[in-house]
Formats: sequence, structure tokens, C-alpha cells
Amino acid sequence: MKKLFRNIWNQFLGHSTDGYFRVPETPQDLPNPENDTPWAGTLKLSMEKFNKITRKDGHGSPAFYAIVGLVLAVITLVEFLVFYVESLGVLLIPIMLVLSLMKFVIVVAFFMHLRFDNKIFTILFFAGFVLAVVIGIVLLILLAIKP
Amino acid sequence: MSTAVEEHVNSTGVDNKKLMMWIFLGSDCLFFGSFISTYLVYRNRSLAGPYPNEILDIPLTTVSTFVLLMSSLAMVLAVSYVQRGSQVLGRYYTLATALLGLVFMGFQVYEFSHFAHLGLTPRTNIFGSTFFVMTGFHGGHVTFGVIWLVIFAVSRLAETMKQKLLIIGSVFSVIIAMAGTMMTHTLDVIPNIPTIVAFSVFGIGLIGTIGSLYLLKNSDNQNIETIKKEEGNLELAGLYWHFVDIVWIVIFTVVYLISANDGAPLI
Repeated sequence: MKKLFRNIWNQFLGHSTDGYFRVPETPQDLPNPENDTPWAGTLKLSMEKFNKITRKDGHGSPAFYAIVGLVLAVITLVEFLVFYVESLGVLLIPIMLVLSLMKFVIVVAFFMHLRFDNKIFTILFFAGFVLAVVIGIVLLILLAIKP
Repeated sequence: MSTAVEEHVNSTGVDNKKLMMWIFLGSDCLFFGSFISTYLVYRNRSLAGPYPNEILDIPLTTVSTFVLLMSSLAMVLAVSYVQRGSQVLGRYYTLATALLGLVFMGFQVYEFSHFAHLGLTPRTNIFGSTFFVMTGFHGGHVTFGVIWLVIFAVSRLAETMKQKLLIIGSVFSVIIAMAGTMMTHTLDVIPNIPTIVAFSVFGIGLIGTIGSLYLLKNSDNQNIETIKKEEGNLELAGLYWHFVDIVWIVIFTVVYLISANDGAPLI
């Protein structure tokens, strides 16, 4: 764990492992290497870590699912608390939609295993989902127009 | 009689049953999408009360949403443990999913009866019609899911007759405990019952639930080879259950959080 943090920290600052700044060893006529800025390396490393954690043996471990469940519970709590903030006004609706979309995506991706599974399931499910959303939006627009 | 299912070769390269389930869930999106759209189209158009801001109880529904989320977590853990060959934990979490689903249904029964007491029925106004049809069909889905999970736990995940009876016993105990809760004067779903009777019924149900779960824990019977075959079938039930959960996530946001402050229409 300590090694991981040090690695991320070094990537973040652009340090090499011996305590000096990493100097890209590139001849003048070649393009710059991919990780020649501190930020690019951090993003790539964290995406790699995320992929490794969420795709362990094609399925998550029970501990991973427990953490996902905790995240869902926290989002629900945030929704509940945001509901009582009176100064939000019109902003309440987009905030609630974004929070519930986050919960939706987390459940579908991890609990329903779509992230680990065959792409055909994702296509079939979202065909129905997108159609339902589009029909809903079209209905709302059509019936909001008053003759 | 052999019940083993051969793996079929097909052009998609995936399990046929799972493919069928995902197609069904895609179509169910349209089913609930139409109800939710109808609710939104008729939002703020009720000409008579009670209006949403008079009766919707956000803290109570947040708790029931949390219960359903936790049942979803129990479901994914059940599938995960069955995949790992742990029959005891797989059975336990499947039962936990069904029991939490029952508790969610209890919340809904209380909510419906409370609304009816306050004068909101499907016939009262357009809010009542759209609300009860949408949440009623969701409740129907939850009921079906609970029946599916209990039958699955009894027929596939329990081995001895004792375990089967304990699973059925725990389900009935939870129902009895919820009935006891609803007899109390605070909830008053089942009226005119003396308090002592209500608490006794609740106590019997609670003791039954804890007792049957404890006995089930102590009747361990690990048979790893038979349990792993059930992984695919339990996953189908899990997909259905998670779908019911995400539908509730949308309903909770659209009906409760977004339109809980709706009052009389501004005409």
C-alpha cells in the first residue's frame, strides 16, 4: 500500500524513483514520450488501478461489493440531505437527477455485472432504457406545448 | 430424472437464459418508463387534494429506499458467495434479500394505507391515479421477486427438510412481526387491536425470525459441488432484483424528491 502511494506521488510530481525529477530521454527528432508531464502519468496510473480493482477475475470480491453498497447508501443520504436545502430552488431537479443517475449506473455496472459481462447485454438493456427515456422526454415536450 | 442443462452452442456466444433476462429487462424499462412519463406529464395537474406536499413522507421513504438498496447488496453478495462455492453464506444472503424485500413491502403497505386514511385513493385525483398505478406495479414486481427468491432458496439452496422449513418459518415470522407493527396505534394499518395484542404478535414474529435464522445458521451442510451449479439461475433472480432496485431509485427521485413540494396547480 505504501509503495502504491509513493508510486502515485512520484507520478504526480514527475519524480523518478531516485529522488530526482524524471528527465525524458528523447532525441530531438522524436515526438515527446506519453508521460512527460506529471499529470498525464497520474491519470493513466489511476485508471489502470481502477480497472484492476473492478475487473478482478471478471467479478468483484465480496469486500468490493460491500464498498459499492456503502457508496450507494452515502449517495442516498446525500440526496436526503440535499432535499432539505431550501436555497437550491430550481437547481434541486438537476442535482437529484445526477445523483440518481450515479446510483443507477453503479447498480447496473457493478451489481448487475454489466462492466464484467458481454457487451450484447449492455446493448440490449440500454436499447430499451434509451427508448423509454426518449419517449418520456418527447411526451413531456409535446404535452407542455399549449395550443 | 436428470435435470442437468447442457450448454447450447449459439450464435451470440452467451447463455440463452441470461440473454432472455436482459431482453425482458430492456422491455420492462419501457413498461416502467411509460408509467413514470405519465406521472410526469400529469404532474401538478390535480384539481383536488390531497396534493403531494401534504402527504409524502420523505424520511420514511428514504428509510425504505435504504432497505431496498441493502437487499440489492445482499443479493449481489449471495451470487458472489454461490460462485465461490459457499452454500451457507449464499443461502443466508439469498434469504436476507427476500426478507429485506418483505420489509420494503411492509413500508409500502403502510404508506398506501396511510394515504388512504388521508383521503388519497386512485380515484381521488390524477396524482393518486398515476402514483398508485406506478408504485403499485413496482410493489407487484417486488412481491414476485420475493416469491422467486424464497422458492429458489427452499428448492435449490436448502438440502435438508429442516433447512427448508426454517427458511419458510423465517419468512412467515417476518410477516407476523410486520403485522404486529401495523396493529399498533401509531401506524394503525390494522385498526382496533389492543396494544398488548399488537406487541405480543410483534414479539412472536421477532422471536420466530431470530430463532429460525439462528437455527438455520447452526444447521450447516456444506456441499460445494451442488451449489456451484445454481450460480447461473441465482444470477437471473439477481438481475431481476437489481432491476427492481434501479426502478425504485428512479421512482424515489422523480416522485418523492423532485415533486414532494408540489401543491395545488397554478392556474
